[in-house]
Amino acid sequence: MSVAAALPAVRAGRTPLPLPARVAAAILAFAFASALAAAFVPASAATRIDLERRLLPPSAAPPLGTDELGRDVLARLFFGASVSLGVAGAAVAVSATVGSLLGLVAGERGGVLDAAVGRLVDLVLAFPGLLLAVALAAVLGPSARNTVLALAASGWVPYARLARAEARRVSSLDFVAAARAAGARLPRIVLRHLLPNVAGPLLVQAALHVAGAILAESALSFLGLGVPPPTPSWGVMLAGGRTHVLDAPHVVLAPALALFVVVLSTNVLGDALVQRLGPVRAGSRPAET
Amino acid sequence: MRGEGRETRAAGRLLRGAAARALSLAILLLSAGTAVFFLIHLVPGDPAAAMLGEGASPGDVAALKHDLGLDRPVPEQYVSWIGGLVRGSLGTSILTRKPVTGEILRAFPATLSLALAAFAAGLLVAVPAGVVAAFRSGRTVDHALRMVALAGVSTPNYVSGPLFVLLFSVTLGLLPVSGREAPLSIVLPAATLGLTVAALLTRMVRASLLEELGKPYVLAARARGESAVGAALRHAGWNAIPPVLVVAGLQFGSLLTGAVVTETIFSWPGVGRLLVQSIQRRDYPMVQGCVLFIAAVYVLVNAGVDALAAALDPRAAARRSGEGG
Repeated sequence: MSVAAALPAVRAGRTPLPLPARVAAAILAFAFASALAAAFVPASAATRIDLERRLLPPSAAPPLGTDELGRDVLARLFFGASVSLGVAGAAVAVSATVGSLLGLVAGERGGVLDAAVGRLVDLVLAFPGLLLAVALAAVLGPSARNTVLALAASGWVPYARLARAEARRVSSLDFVAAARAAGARLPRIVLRHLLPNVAGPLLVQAALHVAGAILAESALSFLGLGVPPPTPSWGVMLAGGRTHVLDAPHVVLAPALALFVVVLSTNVLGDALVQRLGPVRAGSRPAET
Repeated sequence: MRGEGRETRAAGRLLRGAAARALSLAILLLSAGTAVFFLIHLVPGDPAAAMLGEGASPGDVAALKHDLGLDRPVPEQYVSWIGGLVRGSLGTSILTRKPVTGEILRAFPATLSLALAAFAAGLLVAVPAGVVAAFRSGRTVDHALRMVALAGVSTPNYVSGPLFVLLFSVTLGLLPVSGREAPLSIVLPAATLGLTVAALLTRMVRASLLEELGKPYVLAARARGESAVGAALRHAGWNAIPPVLVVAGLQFGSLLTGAVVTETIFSWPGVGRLLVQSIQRRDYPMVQGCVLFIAAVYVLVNAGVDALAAALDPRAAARRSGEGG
């Protein structure tokens, strides 16, 4: 969804995106569509335990085999998509909203508020990679909502830096001065005058962030700090299948491959968007650990 | 005489700059310590009860609260926490009853050796690959290398790690699965981490070198009759280094801070695994200590990288202090 939203760039550039980027967009559309479809199927298909049918290899009946508790790997993959992509999407949405608004207001207002946001950004950046998310998830306890909060706690920073830089550039332009002279208040200036003019780079940042958020969610779930186990997320499936990697590699390979394809597609599409719209200036941190 | 005065003034400015940086670094570390202090107060309900689990008696909970100082007023707790930090103490582990700092320092050499190995492996791959890709930009080799690098960036450690184990330990039986006892056991975790480093740095080396190669001074060198390789080595290469160095430094910083996932996969006894184990055991003082230690190392490494980049590129430093040649 967020990818489709970032596509005004295509209209602006007139020439279509390169083929790999279009293939990537199609794959992502399929992944998000199946995540949505999974929400309408009873969850029992992915959580029903059948110990008689443990670790069956891929075949005609369960197309991707079964896992260590006899659950259908394909069904879990689809439900995992809705959990992984849903949590990642929510984390991106919360990060983008909070970060953009903080950055825009800080850039427009300046002064003490700007300095305070700047200090907060520095503080969050002192915690590398997943560290802040791991720490927060650890104390808040594992749940989907807490995972979103933990990811957004550091996820808002690139948006805030980008929005602040863009807001400072735009807010010195005449039409913003005119709006101020006409008596427009802060919310109106930020939402009606600044936001529409800085939305492009913010959307590119969001498109790039999706891959990082999917990886981070899976990493947290893998460590047992994300979505709690009966619910299938791709990270949970990876962690569960790891002990059976010798006798039943398909249990690990299915979510691993799904994760790889979705993240690769997001990166390919993100690279194409960056090339189209120019680099994201204030820069995002790559997902590590 | 005049030159000497100017030099003294410049040295004074430099010293003031360094002092200001040190002060802001100290403030940043104190704020990180404050953030980590409040972490334990985010635990829903009673942290002491959460640590002991469901079957704990009220008396045990009260005793643990007293041990942790959680029964004291928050400002008093805060002052004693910050006072401890200044003395280098991060509190006492609930589980082992030993000082947190000591446990972390015992785990750090493992993290350090893994970070160095992964970083070296990453650089050994990334520099040649990035240079080749930049020289053959737009050709088949470049496209292939870019695809491989993109695939590497898209492969998280919790995917590549188990796949490496499957291939090299299980199928081929060449390398140990986990632990740190055998001398070769560092190979798989280092390769897992190095893969990400190599992929990121290849992209960076290629982009940075390509940008310099496109500048007029390289064309001028070619016009003077220098070969393409000579012009690149003598001129573009040096100018391409600082941006790569900054990204490489950031990468090293995050490697050094305990690759939480990779250390967990390979049971590598470093700070990252200590953090995850402490979370599982609800040893919150240890969690606080690990988080703050990792943040502090990361911040200090980044400050060092910044200083190094400024030394390598005096133009940027001069722009910052607002001084012309």
